[in-house]
Amino acid sequence: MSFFPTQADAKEGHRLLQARSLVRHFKVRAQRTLLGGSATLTAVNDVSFDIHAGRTLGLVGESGCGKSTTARLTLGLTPVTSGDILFDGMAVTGRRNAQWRELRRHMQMVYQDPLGVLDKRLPVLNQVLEPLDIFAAGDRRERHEQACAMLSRVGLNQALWHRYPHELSGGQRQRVVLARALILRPRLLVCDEPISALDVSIQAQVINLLQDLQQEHRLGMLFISHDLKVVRQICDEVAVMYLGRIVEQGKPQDLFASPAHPYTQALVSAIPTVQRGRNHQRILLEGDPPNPINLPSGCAFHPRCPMATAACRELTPALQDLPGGRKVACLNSGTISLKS
Amino acid sequence: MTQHTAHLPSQFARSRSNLGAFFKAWPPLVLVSIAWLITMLFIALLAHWLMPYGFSEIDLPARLQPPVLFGGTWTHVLGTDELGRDVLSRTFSAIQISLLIAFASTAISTLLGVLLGILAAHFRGWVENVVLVLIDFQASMPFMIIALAVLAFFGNSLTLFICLMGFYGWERAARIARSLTIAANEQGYAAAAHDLGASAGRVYGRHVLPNIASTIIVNITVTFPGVVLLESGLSFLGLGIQPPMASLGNMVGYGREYLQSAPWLLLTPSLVIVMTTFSISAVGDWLRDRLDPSAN
Amino acid sequence: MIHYLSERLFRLLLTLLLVLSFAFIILRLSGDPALIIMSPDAPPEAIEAFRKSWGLDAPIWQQYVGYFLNLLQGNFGVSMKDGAPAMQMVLERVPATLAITVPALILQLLIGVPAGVYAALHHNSRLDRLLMGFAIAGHTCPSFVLALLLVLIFSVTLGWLPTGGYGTFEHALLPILTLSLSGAAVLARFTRSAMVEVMGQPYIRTALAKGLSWRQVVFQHALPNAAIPTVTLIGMMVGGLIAGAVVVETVFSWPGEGRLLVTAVASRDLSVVQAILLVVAACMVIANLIVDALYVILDPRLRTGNTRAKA
Repeated sequence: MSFFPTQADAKEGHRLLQARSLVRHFKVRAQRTLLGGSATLTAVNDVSFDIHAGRTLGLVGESGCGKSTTARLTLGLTPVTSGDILFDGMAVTGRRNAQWRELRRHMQMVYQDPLGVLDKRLPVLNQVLEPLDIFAAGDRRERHEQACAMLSRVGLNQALWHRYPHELSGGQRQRVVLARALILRPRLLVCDEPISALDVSIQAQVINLLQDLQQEHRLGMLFISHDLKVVRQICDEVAVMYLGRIVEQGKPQDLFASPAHPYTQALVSAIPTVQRGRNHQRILLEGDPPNPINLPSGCAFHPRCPMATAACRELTPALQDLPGGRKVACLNSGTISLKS
Repeated sequence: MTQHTAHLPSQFARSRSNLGAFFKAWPPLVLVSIAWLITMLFIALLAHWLMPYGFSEIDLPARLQPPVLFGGTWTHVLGTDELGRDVLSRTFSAIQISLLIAFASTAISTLLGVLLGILAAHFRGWVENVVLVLIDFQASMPFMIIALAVLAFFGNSLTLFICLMGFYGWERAARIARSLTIAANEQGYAAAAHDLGASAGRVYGRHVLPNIASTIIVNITVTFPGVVLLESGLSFLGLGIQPPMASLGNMVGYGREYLQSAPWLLLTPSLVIVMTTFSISAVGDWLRDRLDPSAN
Repeated sequence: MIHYLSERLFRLLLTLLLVLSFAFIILRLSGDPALIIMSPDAPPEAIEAFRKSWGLDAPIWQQYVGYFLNLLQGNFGVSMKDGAPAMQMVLERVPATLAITVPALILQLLIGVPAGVYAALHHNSRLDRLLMGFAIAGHTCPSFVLALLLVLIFSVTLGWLPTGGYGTFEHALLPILTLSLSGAAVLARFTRSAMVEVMGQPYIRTALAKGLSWRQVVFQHALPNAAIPTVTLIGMMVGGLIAGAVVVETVFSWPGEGRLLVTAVASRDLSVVQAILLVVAACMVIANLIVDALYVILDPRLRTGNTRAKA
């Protein structure tokens, strides 16, 4: 079928998406009244990254650091305040025009709450059929075949195909959401905390499924999570976000083994480890939790950073390249030696 | 079978018989209500053929006859009024008019409310603010007063009256539609459908409307009796349906003079009004209980 | 809290503005206001003078402003029937209407709230179903039917009370009773569902587990929390009483606002209708403000400024 992109388009390592200097502001009411003033919430503050076919970029950080907003910007679900996004040379804007709709065939999203994003009145097979209906791909019989094939591929038992979402378990629902997202054979998949709502035993299955599908379809993935262990398993590259900026980026094994940025160090030290006899020092961050409405001057992390200097209050560090493909945004990175 | 020693509250006790199970799912009150409503609908549709006499057929020698079991004859089962017109026929005609108005008005009100609610939720911004202000306005004044003001200024024709009644209760439907649509659009299934590339028409037509339908239907069972009561109140005051048309309200109004001498003149239409509004409310309550805690 | 109240005030004033504009629009749409407000028999010079004074030959927006200026100066036009100033006629009748609506409101609260609470505490029992059956009946019975029924029973059959008129307590009793029963039914149902919801909350279970007596739990925890959504209902009830007064006063020949409105509509005495509209709007605004103030008193979440948590 010519409706779907051919395999040749998805060469491994080919750069699918390029995001540069993304900024997103939200206007919020300081006091929720007609008469109150408004403030600016900076969700994303100068973020740049690339996503390649067949590879996964992870975005980690605490709640409110801008991960979900970045995901929505990437897909053009929200317009940027400034910055560019190019998918295969095509600009991705937030305006929902014909080009935007066309791009839907190439980029899709998997959500955190599978029950909320499924229509509780439709059987799951119909919901997987929906993207095919929207884009009128083939005739009825072909669409039905495609949908059934997809549901089988994600491992959903045929007996469940005509059930309603609330009659399935969390893991099964997420499979349905995956099937719906992949049925148009997109080249880019954005996963916003896809397993946070699932039981731990199911999480592993869904992760494995994601990895298999990625290999099969040469998907580029943007994987967002606050769970570092999962990120370590599935991502080829990890970016750590704090208050709307990327503060560190690198290969997960390296990054978690020897974090360069003080924030990453604190995050990594908080991962529970079950190892007897190992001396584990937890880094506790002090100071106020991050507030995207009232951004600190200079480096956003300086109020809580154990290594903050006077310069950190004035200058905003840019992402610098370190050996081994690592990037860090810290004024003191030069003085930190990467422990091997 | 083992003995059931624990005494369960009635709603948890298992029905021993099929009949018991049937009545648990369909309470007798609801069955009676539905039967009444179907009868009313039947009469409203076929009034013309069911009426033994014309509704304005005057028969002065036979005026003010009581109903059949209270001293009257079978020729006029429910008696006659002050002009000798058959009460049964007039009641049928009145049911037809009152139900017609109620159906038309409820339909207009629900359509208007759902449309404005969805528009407000879809466009947000100033559109939503305008709709919210309109809702506030409608909710702030008792509708009877607004209706009376409009009737005073514009006079009274049937079309105007139906349109006026069509504004009753739209703000409730609008509020419901708006809040449910916003929830669906922000984090829910509608957001996902938009993200898939579905057009707004598809999202609202295939997803949102079926999902809000049950709540809207419950709201209809609140609006419908409200319109019936409002219309009959206005007609009772002489400001609604005008003669020679008969409405349940204006029959009560005319019968008022004969409260002591010929009470059947106003008791029949009153009974019909009360039974009808009671039935719809009972069915509405039952529907709401069924639809709410279910797997919806 | 100030923010909340001032925002509510702003919205209510906006609503009042809308009602007045609505009155202006329908007055304009229904024909030449000069001919309508002055009687058609008035001499042409008087009509011209009226037109000039109301600025009816000016562009529409100027008329709109002029309309408001007139209102602010207290110029509401004169009644077509006897030429008396419309607003004066309307305000004269206010005490009579208050004489039946205020006791009716109190009676509604006294009957409806305890009935609803009692039904909620005996949730799903026979008594609950009986009370709620009565409540549905009261709510679905039109006020004129109820009024006539009460007249039939108490005046015609038993002869205890007069069928209508004004003056003594006996004359007021049936109108008050009629007005209050319907509202009491609505209040009972609503209070019941509010109480049932509150009683199902975990903090009630905790309070009982702590050892508080049933009575303490109900009066100290359940009722105050159930009162919050019930207070919103009171605003609607005031509206219902005003609407109910229209019918009740007509049935019982009680010389209040409602009866005046009906006769004014029937005779198309538009300045009186307009004046009543404004008085009713003002009443509703005041009632809603009181409700909002009560809301702030009852709900501590509003005092600290967290309106997001409004129930």
